[in-house]
Amino acid sequence: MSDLSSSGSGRRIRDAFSGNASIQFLIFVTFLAAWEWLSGVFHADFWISKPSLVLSALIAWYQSGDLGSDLKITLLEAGIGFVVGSIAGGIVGFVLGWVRKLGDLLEPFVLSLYTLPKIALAPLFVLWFGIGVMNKIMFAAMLVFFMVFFTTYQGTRQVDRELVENARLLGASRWGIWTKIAVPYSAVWVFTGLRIGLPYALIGAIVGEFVAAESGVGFRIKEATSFFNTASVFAGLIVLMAISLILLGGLKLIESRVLRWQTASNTLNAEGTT
Amino acid sequence: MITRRALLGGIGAAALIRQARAATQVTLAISSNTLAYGGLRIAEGAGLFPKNGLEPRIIVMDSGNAAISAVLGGSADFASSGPGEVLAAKVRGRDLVIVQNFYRGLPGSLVLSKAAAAKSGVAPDAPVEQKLRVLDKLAIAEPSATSAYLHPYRAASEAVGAKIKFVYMTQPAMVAALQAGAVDGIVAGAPFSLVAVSNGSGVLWISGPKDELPEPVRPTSSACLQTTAEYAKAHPDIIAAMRRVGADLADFIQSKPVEALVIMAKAYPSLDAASAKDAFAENAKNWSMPKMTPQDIKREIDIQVSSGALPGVDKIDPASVLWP
Repeated sequence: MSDLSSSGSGRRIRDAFSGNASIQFLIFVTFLAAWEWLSGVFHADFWISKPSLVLSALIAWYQSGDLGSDLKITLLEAGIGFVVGSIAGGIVGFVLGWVRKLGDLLEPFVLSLYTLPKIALAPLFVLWFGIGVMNKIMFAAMLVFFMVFFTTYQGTRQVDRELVENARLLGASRWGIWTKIAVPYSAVWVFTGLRIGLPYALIGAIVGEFVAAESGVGFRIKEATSFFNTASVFAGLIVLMAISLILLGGLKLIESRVLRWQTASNTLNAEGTT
Repeated sequence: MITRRALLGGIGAAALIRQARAATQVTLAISSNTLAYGGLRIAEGAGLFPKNGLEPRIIVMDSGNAAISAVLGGSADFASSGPGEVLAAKVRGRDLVIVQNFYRGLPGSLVLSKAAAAKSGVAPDAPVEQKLRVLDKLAIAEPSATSAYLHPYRAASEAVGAKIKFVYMTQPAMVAALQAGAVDGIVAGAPFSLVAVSNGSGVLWISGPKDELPEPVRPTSSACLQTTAEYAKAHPDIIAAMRRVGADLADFIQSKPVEALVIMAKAYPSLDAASAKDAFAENAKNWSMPKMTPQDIKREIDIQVSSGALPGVDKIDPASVLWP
Protein backbone atom coordinates (compact mmCIF):
# COMPACT_ATOMS: atom_id res chain seq x y z
CA MET A 1 0.00 0.00 0.00
CA SER A 2 2.72 2.34 1.01
CA ASP A 3 4.75 1.28 -2.04
CA LEU A 4 1.83 2.02 -4.29
CA SER A 5 1.29 5.47 -2.77
CA SER A 6 4.97 6.29 -2.96
CA SER A 7 5.20 5.24 -6.61
CA GLY A 8 2.09 7.34 -7.28
CA SER A 9 3.56 10.39 -5.62
CA GLY A 10 6.81 9.75 -7.48
CA ARG A 11 4.92 9.83 -10.74
CA ARG A 12 3.16 13.03 -9.72
CA ILE A 13 6.53 14.60 -8.91
CA ARG A 14 7.92 13.43 -12.24
CA ASP A 15 4.89 14.80 -14.06
CA ALA A 16 5.17 18.11 -12.26
CA PHE A 17 8.86 18.22 -13.02
CA SER A 18 8.39 17.50 -16.68
CA GLY A 19 5.75 20.24 -16.74
CA ASN A 20 8.14 22.63 -15.01
CA ALA A 21 10.97 21.62 -17.29
CA SER A 22 8.93 22.51 -20.37
CA ILE A 23 8.01 25.88 -18.90
CA GLN A 24 11.61 26.51 -17.87
CA PHE A 25 12.79 25.60 -21.35
CA LEU A 26 10.23 27.97 -22.84
CA ILE A 27 11.35 30.80 -20.52
CA PHE A 28 14.96 30.12 -21.50
CA VAL A 29 14.27 30.18 -25.23
CA THR A 30 12.14 33.34 -24.88
CA PHE A 31 14.94 34.99 -22.92
CA LEU A 32 17.49 34.13 -25.63
CA ALA A 33 15.20 35.34 -28.40
CA ALA A 34 14.49 38.61 -26.54
CA TRP A 35 18.20 39.10 -25.91
CA GLU A 36 19.05 38.55 -29.60
CA TRP A 37 16.23 40.81 -30.76
CA LEU A 38 16.87 43.66 -28.30
CA SER A 39 20.59 43.63 -28.99
CA GLY A 40 19.91 43.87 -32.74
CA VAL A 41 17.23 46.55 -32.50
CA PHE A 42 19.23 48.81 -30.17
CA HIS A 43 22.64 48.00 -31.74
CA ALA A 44 23.75 47.03 -28.26
CA ASP A 45 26.04 44.10 -29.01
CA PHE A 46 29.04 46.07 -27.68
CA TRP A 47 27.28 46.36 -24.31
CA ILE A 48 25.36 43.11 -23.95
CA SER A 49 26.48 41.07 -26.98
CA LYS A 50 23.88 38.60 -28.30
CA PRO A 51 23.36 34.84 -28.12
CA SER A 52 24.45 34.20 -31.73
CA LEU A 53 27.75 36.06 -31.13
CA VAL A 54 28.26 34.30 -27.80
CA LEU A 55 27.74 30.96 -29.52
CA SER A 56 30.28 31.92 -32.19
CA ALA A 57 32.74 32.92 -29.46
CA LEU A 58 32.17 29.59 -27.70
CA ILE A 59 32.78 27.68 -30.94
CA ALA A 60 35.93 29.70 -31.67
CA TRP A 61 37.16 29.06 -28.12
CA TYR A 62 36.54 25.34 -28.54
CA GLN A 63 38.17 25.24 -31.97
CA SER A 64 41.26 27.05 -30.69
CA GLY A 65 41.81 24.13 -28.34
CA ASP A 66 41.99 26.44 -25.33
CA LEU A 67 38.53 25.67 -23.93
CA GLY A 68 39.52 22.18 -22.77
CA SER A 69 42.78 23.25 -21.17
CA ASP A 70 41.22 26.34 -19.58
CA LEU A 71 38.39 24.27 -18.14
CA LYS A 72 40.82 21.67 -16.85
CA ILE A 73 42.83 24.28 -14.98
CA THR A 74 39.87 26.15 -13.52
CA LEU A 75 38.15 22.92 -12.48
CA LEU A 76 41.34 21.67 -10.89
CA GLU A 77 41.76 24.88 -8.89
CA ALA A 78 38.11 25.06 -7.88
CA GLY A 79 37.85 21.32 -7.22
CA ILE A 80 40.86 21.04 -4.94
CA GLY A 81 39.95 24.34 -3.28
CA PHE A 82 36.44 23.01 -2.67
CA VAL A 83 37.68 19.77 -1.13
CA VAL A 84 40.28 21.49 1.06
CA GLY A 85 37.87 24.24 2.17
CA SER A 86 35.05 21.76 2.82
CA ILE A 87 37.18 19.40 4.89
CA ALA A 88 38.70 22.24 6.90
CA GLY A 89 35.34 24.01 7.35
CA GLY A 90 33.59 20.77 8.22
CA ILE A 91 36.14 19.67 10.82
CA VAL A 92 36.52 23.08 12.47
CA GLY A 93 32.76 23.69 12.35
CA PHE A 94 32.06 20.28 13.88
CA VAL A 95 34.63 20.64 16.65
CA LEU A 96 33.57 24.17 17.59
CA GLY A 97 29.91 23.24 17.36
CA TRP A 98 30.32 20.14 19.48
CA VAL A 99 32.64 21.58 22.13
CA ARG A 100 30.38 24.47 23.07
CA LYS A 101 32.81 26.27 25.36
CA LEU A 102 35.47 26.30 22.68
CA GLY A 103 32.88 27.43 20.13
CA ASP A 104 31.70 30.30 22.32
CA LEU A 105 35.31 31.31 22.87
CA LEU A 106 36.41 31.25 19.24
CA GLU A 107 33.22 32.25 17.42
CA PRO A 108 33.96 36.03 17.53
CA PHE A 109 37.38 35.44 15.98
CA VAL A 110 36.00 33.31 13.16
CA LEU A 111 33.25 35.88 12.61
CA SER A 112 35.86 38.66 12.45
CA LEU A 113 37.79 36.76 9.81
CA TYR A 114 34.58 36.11 7.92
CA THR A 115 33.74 39.82 7.78
CA LEU A 116 37.07 40.61 6.07
CA PRO A 117 36.51 41.65 2.45
CA LYS A 118 38.21 38.58 1.05
CA ILE A 119 38.71 40.05 -2.40
CA ALA A 120 41.19 42.50 -0.85
CA LEU A 121 43.30 39.53 0.20
CA ALA A 122 43.74 38.35 -3.38
CA PRO A 123 46.96 40.34 -4.03
CA LEU A 124 48.35 39.08 -0.72
CA PHE A 125 47.69 35.52 -1.82
CA VAL A 126 50.11 36.18 -4.68
CA LEU A 127 52.74 36.98 -2.06
CA TRP A 128 51.92 33.93 0.05
CA PHE A 129 51.18 31.30 -2.57
CA GLY A 130 52.67 32.63 -5.82
CA ILE A 131 50.84 32.88 -9.13
CA GLY A 132 50.44 29.19 -9.86
CA VAL A 133 47.46 26.97 -9.13
CA MET A 134 48.20 26.98 -5.38
CA ASN A 135 47.17 30.64 -5.17
CA LYS A 136 43.76 29.91 -6.69
CA ILE A 137 43.27 26.70 -4.73
CA MET A 138 43.89 28.48 -1.44
CA PHE A 139 41.66 31.39 -2.36
CA ALA A 140 38.84 29.04 -3.33
CA ALA A 141 39.43 26.99 -0.16
CA MET A 142 39.20 30.11 1.98
CA LEU A 143 35.84 31.11 0.50
CA VAL A 144 34.43 27.58 0.81
CA PHE A 145 35.76 27.18 4.34
CA PHE A 146 33.48 29.84 5.79
CA MET A 147 30.38 28.57 4.01
CA VAL A 148 30.88 25.02 5.24
CA PHE A 149 32.11 26.10 8.65
CA PHE A 150 29.04 28.15 9.54
CA THR A 151 26.49 25.59 8.41
CA THR A 152 28.33 22.70 10.09
CA TYR A 153 28.80 24.74 13.25
CA GLN A 154 25.11 25.60 13.33
CA GLY A 155 24.06 22.06 12.51
CA THR A 156 26.26 20.51 15.19
CA ARG A 157 24.99 22.97 17.77
CA GLN A 158 21.44 21.89 17.01
CA VAL A 159 22.08 18.23 17.77
CA ASP A 160 19.49 17.09 20.28
CA ARG A 161 21.41 17.19 23.58
CA GLU A 162 18.77 15.11 25.39
CA LEU A 163 19.28 12.36 22.87
CA VAL A 164 23.01 12.53 23.44
CA GLU A 165 22.55 12.37 27.23
CA ASN A 166 20.21 9.42 26.93
CA ALA A 167 22.64 7.60 24.66
CA ARG A 168 25.43 8.30 27.12
CA LEU A 169 23.33 6.97 30.01
CA LEU A 170 22.63 3.87 28.00
CA GLY A 171 26.37 3.31 27.70
CA ALA A 172 27.14 4.69 24.24
CA SER A 173 30.81 5.51 23.66
CA ARG A 174 31.95 8.98 22.60
CA TRP A 175 32.81 7.61 19.14
CA GLY A 176 29.37 6.02 18.92
CA ILE A 177 27.66 9.27 19.87
CA TRP A 178 29.65 11.15 17.24
CA THR A 179 29.12 8.69 14.44
CA LYS A 180 25.58 7.62 15.25
CA ILE A 181 24.06 10.90 16.44
CA ALA A 182 26.18 14.03 15.88
CA VAL A 183 27.42 13.41 12.35
CA PRO A 184 24.12 12.12 10.91
CA TYR A 185 22.23 14.92 12.65
CA SER A 186 24.43 17.65 11.21
CA ALA A 187 24.88 16.00 7.82
CA VAL A 188 21.97 17.91 6.25
CA TRP A 189 23.55 21.16 7.37
CA VAL A 190 26.94 20.11 6.06
CA PHE A 191 25.45 19.40 2.67
CA THR A 192 23.70 22.75 2.70
CA GLY A 193 27.11 24.33 3.34
CA LEU A 194 28.63 22.31 0.53
CA ARG A 195 25.89 23.41 -1.86
CA ILE A 196 26.42 27.04 -0.94
CA GLY A 197 30.19 26.64 -0.99
CA LEU A 198 30.46 25.04 -4.41
CA PRO A 199 29.86 28.21 -6.48
CA TYR A 200 32.23 30.01 -4.11
CA ALA A 201 34.98 27.57 -5.08
CA LEU A 202 34.55 28.66 -8.69
CA ILE A 203 34.44 32.31 -7.67
CA GLY A 204 37.69 31.84 -5.74
CA ALA A 205 39.42 30.23 -8.71
CA ILE A 206 38.19 32.95 -11.07
CA VAL A 207 39.21 35.80 -8.76
CA GLY A 208 42.65 34.21 -8.45
CA GLU A 209 42.90 33.99 -12.23
CA PHE A 210 41.83 37.63 -12.52
CA VAL A 211 44.71 38.69 -10.27
CA ALA A 212 47.43 36.70 -12.01
CA ALA A 213 47.25 33.84 -14.48
CA GLU A 214 48.43 32.46 -17.77
CA SER A 215 45.39 30.33 -18.52
CA GLY A 216 42.01 29.29 -17.17
CA VAL A 217 38.45 30.47 -17.74
CA GLY A 218 38.96 33.57 -15.56
CA PHE A 219 42.10 34.45 -17.50
CA ARG A 220 40.17 34.20 -20.81
CA ILE A 221 37.39 36.41 -19.44
CA LYS A 222 39.93 39.01 -18.34
CA GLU A 223 41.72 38.84 -21.67
CA ALA A 224 38.43 39.28 -23.55
CA THR A 225 37.62 42.26 -21.33
CA SER A 226 40.93 43.85 -22.31
CA PHE A 227 39.83 43.74 -25.93
CA PHE A 228 36.25 44.86 -25.18
CA ASN A 229 35.14 41.48 -26.53
CA THR A 230 31.78 41.26 -24.78
CA ALA A 231 30.74 38.07 -26.60
CA SER A 232 33.79 36.20 -25.31
CA VAL A 233 33.19 37.53 -21.81
CA PHE A 234 29.65 36.13 -21.91
CA ALA A 235 30.98 32.87 -23.37
CA GLY A 236 33.26 32.55 -20.34
CA LEU A 237 30.43 33.37 -17.96
CA ILE A 238 28.13 30.83 -19.59
CA VAL A 239 30.81 28.16 -19.32
CA LEU A 240 31.17 28.97 -15.62
CA MET A 241 27.41 28.83 -15.13
CA ALA A 242 27.23 25.47 -16.89
CA ILE A 243 30.06 24.06 -14.75
CA SER A 244 28.35 25.33 -11.61
CA LEU A 245 25.04 23.75 -12.55
CA ILE A 246 26.62 20.42 -13.48
CA LEU A 247 28.62 20.28 -10.24
CA LEU A 248 25.60 21.27 -8.16
CA GLY A 249 23.61 18.53 -9.90
CA GLY A 250 26.35 16.03 -9.04
CA LEU A 251 26.41 17.19 -5.45
CA LYS A 252 22.65 16.88 -5.20
CA LEU A 253 22.92 13.31 -6.47
CA ILE A 254 25.57 12.49 -3.87
CA GLU A 255 23.47 14.16 -1.20
CA SER A 256 20.40 12.15 -2.12
CA ARG A 257 22.45 8.92 -1.91
CA VAL A 258 24.21 9.78 1.34
CA LEU A 259 21.12 11.15 3.04
CA ARG A 260 18.74 8.58 1.61
CA TRP A 261 17.47 7.92 5.11
CA GLN A 262 16.88 11.55 5.90
CA THR A 263 14.89 13.46 3.34
CA ALA A 264 14.33 17.15 3.76
CA SER A 265 10.70 16.61 4.81
CA ASN A 266 11.75 14.09 7.47
CA THR A 267 14.20 16.58 8.82
CA LEU A 268 11.57 19.29 8.97
CA ASN A 269 9.17 16.92 10.71
CA ALA A 270 11.84 15.89 13.17
CA GLU A 271 12.62 19.53 13.92
CA GLY A 272 8.93 20.21 14.33
CA THR A 273 8.55 17.50 16.94
CA THR A 274 11.61 18.33 19.02
CA MET B 1 33.94 97.42 12.87
CA ILE B 2 35.58 95.76 9.88
CA THR B 3 39.34 95.61 10.06
CA ARG B 4 41.57 95.94 7.02
CA ARG B 5 42.80 92.36 7.45
CA ALA B 6 39.26 90.98 7.60
CA LEU B 7 38.33 92.97 4.50
CA LEU B 8 41.32 91.69 2.56
CA GLY B 9 40.63 88.17 3.77
CA GLY B 10 37.04 88.46 2.67
CA ILE B 11 38.05 89.69 -0.78
CA GLY B 12 40.57 86.84 -1.09
CA ALA B 13 38.00 84.26 -0.01
CA ALA B 14 35.45 85.68 -2.42
CA ALA B 15 37.97 85.44 -5.24
CA LEU B 16 38.70 81.82 -4.36
CA ILE B 17 35.00 80.98 -4.19
CA ARG B 18 34.48 82.69 -7.57
CA GLN B 19 37.33 80.67 -9.06
CA ALA B 20 35.98 77.44 -7.58
CA ARG B 21 32.51 78.26 -8.87
CA ALA B 22 33.84 79.08 -12.31
CA ALA B 23 35.90 75.87 -12.53
CA THR B 24 34.30 73.09 -14.53
CA GLN B 25 34.40 69.70 -12.89
CA VAL B 26 35.90 66.96 -15.01
CA THR B 27 36.25 63.31 -14.02
CA LEU B 28 39.36 61.62 -15.31
CA ALA B 29 39.81 57.85 -14.95
CA ILE B 30 43.46 56.81 -15.25
CA SER B 31 44.77 53.31 -15.85
CA SER B 32 47.26 53.15 -12.97
CA ASN B 33 49.18 55.22 -10.51
CA THR B 34 52.54 54.86 -12.18
CA LEU B 35 54.93 57.60 -13.20
CA ALA B 36 53.34 57.62 -16.65
CA TYR B 37 50.96 60.00 -14.88
CA GLY B 38 53.73 61.90 -13.11
CA GLY B 39 53.13 64.87 -15.42
CA LEU B 40 49.43 64.78 -14.67
CA ARG B 41 50.19 64.76 -10.95
CA ILE B 42 52.54 67.71 -11.37
CA ALA B 43 49.86 69.60 -13.27
CA GLU B 44 47.41 68.81 -10.48
CA GLY B 45 49.83 69.82 -7.71
CA ALA B 46 50.90 72.99 -9.49
CA GLY B 47 47.31 74.16 -9.85
CA LEU B 48 47.38 74.12 -13.64
CA PHE B 49 43.84 72.75 -13.86
CA PRO B 50 42.15 75.55 -11.83
CA LYS B 51 44.31 78.02 -13.73
CA ASN B 52 42.55 76.85 -16.87
CA GLY B 53 39.10 76.74 -15.31
CA LEU B 54 39.03 73.03 -14.57
CA GLU B 55 38.46 71.12 -11.37
CA PRO B 56 39.66 67.57 -11.98
CA ARG B 57 38.55 64.50 -10.10
CA ILE B 58 41.20 61.91 -10.84
CA ILE B 59 40.26 58.28 -10.23
CA VAL B 60 42.85 55.52 -10.40
CA MET B 61 41.38 52.43 -12.04
CA ASP B 62 42.58 48.84 -12.19
CA SER B 63 43.57 48.97 -15.87
CA GLY B 64 43.34 51.03 -19.03
CA ASN B 65 40.40 48.96 -20.10
CA ALA B 66 38.53 49.79 -16.89
CA ALA B 67 39.33 53.48 -17.38
CA ILE B 68 37.92 53.45 -20.91
CA SER B 69 34.89 51.49 -19.76
CA ALA B 70 34.17 54.30 -17.28
CA VAL B 71 34.14 56.81 -20.14
CA LEU B 72 32.04 54.60 -22.39
CA GLY B 73 29.62 54.00 -19.53
CA GLY B 74 29.34 57.75 -18.95
CA SER B 75 30.71 57.82 -15.40
CA ALA B 76 33.93 59.62 -16.39
CA ASP B 77 34.49 62.45 -18.86
CA PHE B 78 38.02 61.42 -19.78
CA ALA B 79 40.11 58.28 -19.57
CA SER B 80 43.80 57.79 -19.83
CA SER B 81 45.56 54.64 -20.94
CA GLY B 82 47.78 53.59 -23.81
CA PRO B 83 46.62 54.02 -27.42
CA GLY B 84 46.26 50.21 -27.66
CA GLU B 85 43.14 50.31 -25.51
CA VAL B 86 41.66 53.09 -27.64
CA LEU B 87 42.29 51.07 -30.79
CA ALA B 88 40.72 47.98 -29.16
CA ALA B 89 37.59 50.02 -28.39
CA LYS B 90 37.55 51.51 -31.89
CA VAL B 91 37.73 48.06 -33.45
CA ARG B 92 34.53 47.31 -31.50
CA GLY B 93 32.88 50.37 -33.04
CA ARG B 94 33.29 52.83 -30.15
CA ASP B 95 33.98 56.38 -31.27
CA LEU B 96 36.81 57.24 -28.91
CA VAL B 97 39.30 59.98 -29.66
CA ILE B 98 42.70 60.91 -28.30
CA VAL B 99 42.92 64.52 -27.15
CA GLN B 100 46.58 64.70 -26.19
CA ASN B 101 49.54 62.77 -24.91
CA PHE B 102 50.46 62.40 -21.24
CA TYR B 103 53.56 60.28 -21.70
CA ARG B 104 55.67 59.97 -24.82
CA GLY B 105 57.60 56.69 -25.08
CA LEU B 106 57.78 53.78 -22.71
CA PRO B 107 57.72 54.24 -18.92
CA GLY B 108 57.66 50.50 -18.22
CA SER B 109 60.97 48.93 -17.22
CA LEU B 110 61.82 45.27 -16.96
CA VAL B 111 63.00 44.24 -13.51
CA LEU B 112 64.46 40.75 -13.39
CA SER B 113 64.52 38.70 -10.19
CA LYS B 114 67.94 38.46 -8.62
CA ALA B 115 67.87 34.67 -9.03
CA ALA B 116 67.07 34.85 -12.75
CA ALA B 117 69.68 37.55 -13.29
CA ALA B 118 72.35 35.52 -11.49
CA LYS B 119 71.40 32.36 -13.38
CA SER B 120 71.66 34.14 -16.73
CA GLY B 121 75.33 34.96 -16.28
CA VAL B 122 74.74 38.28 -18.04
CA ALA B 123 75.56 41.55 -16.32
CA PRO B 124 72.84 44.22 -15.99
CA ASP B 125 75.06 46.62 -17.97
CA ALA B 126 75.51 44.19 -20.88
CA PRO B 127 74.20 45.17 -24.36
CA VAL B 128 70.40 45.04 -24.52
CA GLU B 129 70.39 42.20 -27.11
CA GLN B 130 72.18 39.95 -24.64
CA LYS B 131 69.80 40.93 -21.87
CA LEU B 132 66.81 40.23 -24.09
CA ARG B 133 68.12 36.77 -25.04
CA VAL B 134 68.15 35.56 -21.44
CA LEU B 135 64.42 36.26 -21.16
CA ASP B 136 63.64 33.17 -23.23
CA LYS B 137 60.98 31.01 -21.51
CA LEU B 138 60.97 33.20 -18.41
CA ALA B 139 57.67 34.15 -16.74
CA ILE B 140 57.44 37.91 -16.91
CA ALA B 141 54.49 39.84 -15.46
CA GLU B 142 52.74 42.42 -17.66
CA PRO B 143 49.75 44.63 -16.79
CA SER B 144 47.40 43.33 -19.51
CA ALA B 145 47.04 41.94 -23.00
CA THR B 146 46.53 45.44 -24.44
CA SER B 147 49.07 47.22 -22.26
CA ALA B 148 51.41 49.68 -23.96
CA TYR B 149 54.23 47.90 -22.10
CA LEU B 150 53.58 44.52 -23.70
CA HIS B 151 54.45 44.91 -27.35
CA PRO B 152 57.88 46.57 -26.99
CA TYR B 153 59.23 43.76 -24.82
CA ARG B 154 57.56 41.02 -26.82
CA ALA B 155 58.73 42.36 -30.18
CA ALA B 156 62.25 43.13 -28.99
CA SER B 157 62.72 39.72 -27.38
CA GLU B 158 61.28 37.85 -30.34
CA ALA B 159 63.64 39.75 -32.62
CA VAL B 160 66.58 38.10 -30.83
CA GLY B 161 64.89 34.69 -30.73
CA ALA B 162 63.66 34.79 -27.14
CA LYS B 163 60.07 33.87 -26.28
CA ILE B 164 58.82 35.35 -23.05
CA LYS B 165 56.01 33.67 -21.09
CA PHE B 166 53.84 36.66 -20.18
CA VAL B 167 51.64 36.59 -17.09
CA TYR B 168 49.04 39.32 -16.61
CA MET B 169 48.53 41.01 -13.27
CA THR B 170 48.04 44.48 -11.87
CA GLN B 171 51.20 46.48 -11.27
CA PRO B 172 50.83 46.73 -7.47
CA ALA B 173 50.59 42.92 -7.32
CA MET B 174 53.77 42.54 -9.38
CA VAL B 175 56.14 43.65 -6.64
CA ALA B 176 54.72 41.00 -4.30
CA ALA B 177 54.89 38.36 -7.02
CA LEU B 178 58.55 39.12 -7.72
CA GLN B 179 59.37 39.17 -4.02
CA ALA B 180 57.69 35.80 -3.54
CA GLY B 181 59.60 34.32 -6.49
CA ALA B 182 56.32 33.68 -8.31
CA VAL B 183 57.59 35.32 -11.50
CA ASP B 184 61.05 35.72 -13.00
CA GLY B 185 60.55 39.35 -13.81
CA ILE B 186 58.09 42.20 -14.10
CA VAL B 187 57.42 44.95 -16.61
CA ALA B 188 56.10 47.89 -14.64
CA GLY B 189 56.29 51.62 -14.50
CA ALA B 190 57.86 53.49 -11.61
CA PRO B 191 57.26 53.58 -8.67
CA PHE B 192 56.55 49.82 -8.83
CA SER B 193 59.69 48.99 -10.83
CA LEU B 194 61.83 51.15 -8.55
CA VAL B 195 60.30 49.65 -5.39
CA ALA B 196 61.07 46.15 -6.69
CA VAL B 197 64.69 47.20 -7.14
CA SER B 198 65.02 49.10 -3.88
CA ASN B 199 63.50 46.29 -1.77
CA GLY B 200 66.15 43.96 -3.15
CA SER B 201 63.85 41.53 -4.97
CA GLY B 202 65.09 42.37 -8.44
CA VAL B 203 67.58 44.17 -10.63
CA LEU B 204 66.73 46.81 -13.23
CA TRP B 205 67.30 44.80 -16.41
CA ILE B 206 65.97 47.03 -19.17
CA SER B 207 64.90 50.63 -18.64
CA GLY B 208 61.93 51.91 -20.62
CA PRO B 209 62.36 55.63 -19.91
CA LYS B 210 66.06 55.46 -20.81
CA ASP B 211 65.05 54.22 -24.27
CA GLU B 212 67.13 51.06 -23.98
CA LEU B 213 64.83 49.11 -26.27
CA PRO B 214 65.36 49.47 -30.02
CA GLU B 215 63.58 52.50 -31.48
CA PRO B 216 61.25 50.60 -33.88
CA VAL B 217 59.48 48.78 -31.02
CA ARG B 218 59.05 51.77 -28.73
CA PRO B 219 55.49 53.15 -28.48
CA THR B 220 54.74 56.76 -29.29
CA SER B 221 52.58 57.03 -26.20
CA SER B 222 51.99 54.98 -23.07
CA ALA B 223 49.36 57.24 -21.56
CA CYS B 224 47.15 59.61 -23.51
CA LEU B 225 44.01 61.56 -22.76
CA GLN B 226 40.90 60.06 -24.32
CA THR B 227 37.23 60.77 -24.50
CA THR B 228 34.30 60.01 -26.75
CA ALA B 229 33.93 62.00 -29.97
CA GLU B 230 30.46 62.95 -28.77
CA TYR B 231 31.83 64.50 -25.57
CA ALA B 232 34.63 66.29 -27.41
CA LYS B 233 32.14 67.74 -29.89
CA ALA B 234 29.83 68.90 -27.12
CA HIS B 235 32.57 70.41 -24.93
CA PRO B 236 35.12 72.18 -27.14
CA ASP B 237 35.94 74.61 -24.31
CA ILE B 238 36.88 71.77 -21.95
CA ILE B 239 39.00 70.09 -24.63
CA ALA B 240 40.79 73.38 -25.25
CA ALA B 241 41.32 73.87 -21.52
CA MET B 242 42.74 70.36 -21.14
CA ARG B 243 45.15 71.08 -23.98
CA ARG B 244 46.18 74.33 -22.35
CA VAL B 245 46.96 72.36 -19.18
CA GLY B 246 49.25 70.10 -21.25
CA ALA B 247 51.06 73.08 -22.76
CA ASP B 248 51.33 74.81 -19.37
CA LEU B 249 52.74 71.61 -17.89
CA ALA B 250 55.53 71.49 -20.47
CA ASP B 251 56.38 75.11 -19.64
CA PHE B 252 56.20 74.48 -15.89
CA ILE B 253 58.53 71.46 -16.01
CA GLN B 254 61.01 73.41 -18.11
CA SER B 255 60.86 76.66 -16.16
CA LYS B 256 60.45 75.30 -12.61
CA PRO B 257 62.05 71.84 -12.53
CA VAL B 258 62.79 71.89 -8.81
CA GLU B 259 59.22 72.78 -7.94
CA ALA B 260 57.98 70.11 -10.35
CA LEU B 261 60.26 67.52 -8.73
CA VAL B 262 58.95 68.40 -5.26
CA ILE B 263 55.35 68.04 -6.41
CA MET B 264 56.12 64.74 -8.13
CA ALA B 265 57.92 63.36 -5.08
CA LYS B 266 54.93 64.28 -2.93
CA ALA B 267 52.59 62.47 -5.31
CA TYR B 268 54.69 59.29 -5.15
CA PRO B 269 55.61 58.89 -1.46
CA SER B 270 56.91 55.33 -1.97
CA LEU B 271 59.93 56.77 -3.80
CA ASP B 272 62.87 57.81 -1.65
CA ALA B 273 64.52 61.17 -2.39
CA ALA B 274 67.25 59.74 -4.64
CA SER B 275 64.83 57.53 -6.62
CA ALA B 276 62.43 60.44 -7.05
CA LYS B 277 65.24 62.62 -8.40
CA ASP B 278 66.35 59.90 -10.84
CA ALA B 279 62.78 59.20 -11.91
CA PHE B 280 62.16 62.87 -12.56
CA ALA B 281 65.33 63.20 -14.60
CA GLU B 282 64.41 60.14 -16.68
CA ASN B 283 60.76 60.98 -17.25
CA ALA B 284 60.42 64.77 -17.30
CA LYS B 285 60.98 65.05 -21.06
CA ASN B 286 58.34 62.37 -21.71
CA TRP B 287 55.69 64.36 -19.81
CA SER B 288 56.42 67.47 -21.81
CA MET B 289 55.33 66.37 -25.28
CA PRO B 290 51.54 66.55 -25.31
CA LYS B 291 51.05 66.60 -29.07
CA MET B 292 50.23 63.45 -31.00
CA THR B 293 50.19 63.18 -34.77
CA PRO B 294 48.47 60.82 -37.23
CA GLN B 295 51.94 59.36 -37.86
CA ASP B 296 52.12 58.43 -34.18
CA ILE B 297 48.76 56.72 -34.40
CA LYS B 298 49.78 54.97 -37.62
CA ARG B 299 52.74 53.54 -35.75
CA GLU B 300 50.49 52.38 -32.90
CA ILE B 301 48.23 50.69 -35.45
CA ASP B 302 51.23 49.00 -37.04
CA ILE B 303 52.26 47.74 -33.60
CA GLN B 304 48.83 46.21 -33.08
CA VAL B 305 48.83 44.73 -36.59
CA SER B 306 52.18 43.06 -35.96
CA SER B 307 50.97 41.65 -32.66
CA GLY B 308 47.94 40.12 -34.40
CA ALA B 309 45.84 40.62 -31.30
CA LEU B 310 43.35 43.06 -32.79
CA PRO B 311 41.84 41.82 -36.05
CA GLY B 312 40.49 44.73 -38.09
CA VAL B 313 42.75 47.35 -36.52
CA ASP B 314 44.43 47.99 -39.89
CA LYS B 315 41.14 49.41 -41.20
CA ILE B 316 41.19 52.28 -38.72
CA ASP B 317 42.03 55.67 -40.19
CA PRO B 318 44.81 57.14 -37.99
CA ALA B 319 43.40 60.65 -38.38
CA SER B 320 40.03 59.52 -36.99
CA VAL B 321 41.67 58.53 -33.70
CA LEU B 322 42.96 62.05 -32.99
CA TRP B 323 40.64 64.86 -32.03
CA PRO B 324 41.49 67.83 -34.27
